[in-house]
Amino acid sequence: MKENQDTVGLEQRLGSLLSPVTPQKDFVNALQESLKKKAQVVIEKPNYLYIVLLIFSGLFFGIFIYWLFTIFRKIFRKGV
Amino acid sequence: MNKQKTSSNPGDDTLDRAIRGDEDAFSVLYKENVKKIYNYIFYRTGNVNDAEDLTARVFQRALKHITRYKRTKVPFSAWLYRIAHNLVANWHRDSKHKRELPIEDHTYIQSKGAVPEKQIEKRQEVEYLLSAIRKLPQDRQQLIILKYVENMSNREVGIIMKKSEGAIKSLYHRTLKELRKYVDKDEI
Repeated sequence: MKENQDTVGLEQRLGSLLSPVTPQKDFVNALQESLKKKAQVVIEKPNYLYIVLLIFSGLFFGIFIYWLFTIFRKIFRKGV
Repeated sequence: MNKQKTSSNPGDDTLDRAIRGDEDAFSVLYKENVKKIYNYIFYRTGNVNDAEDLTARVFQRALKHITRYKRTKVPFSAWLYRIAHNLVANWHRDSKHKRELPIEDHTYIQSKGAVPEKQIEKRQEVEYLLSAIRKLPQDRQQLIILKYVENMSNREVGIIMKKSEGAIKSLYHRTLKELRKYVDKDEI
């Protein structure tokens, strides 16, 4: 019996003391704005074609330099 | 107890549009839920700064993942509460937050017109009660806040906590019993 009364008392206490709070209007508005801005941000995907072209042109240029180097070496040896 | 409707599945159309990435629709959902989520987090953390920070993170996360939100019988607000619960749990896990925080001023905005002494008295009583609530396990704290701050029924709490109405009822009784123990102990 006493236990029930205590529980009811605690429930009433919880009900009367825990009341909803109101967030600051500035915060609510600022967050809304920031969410809108976030939604507008578009993450650009990297241009893979550009990367592939860059790698291949680098590779091609390297091979070309090596080829030139071997030609010059041959000419230089013949010259000697 | 003043029951508020929690099955805040706003116009289904609004939710559908938000899922498709419509930012105006998401804005509507935000307006409908921000106070509830803020309230929940405020009572779980006990201070305005963290409540604002975590509320912002809940909606940022919701915005990021809304396109993956699956339409079920679970209301949209329950999805937000679950995000909030996870973020608060992480926040509590962070050891630097474990110190006891006094509840900050604006809890008492509601008691406008009250005599200052009465306000101080009420504030002390709330702080005392909240310190007892914070001794409870996380799920029980969640239950108390949802029932008393958000005025939810056992069924609504069950949806958020992924438990049956009966399980919530039983958990509620065990929670009150445990809470009474802390309150009684401190009052002796």
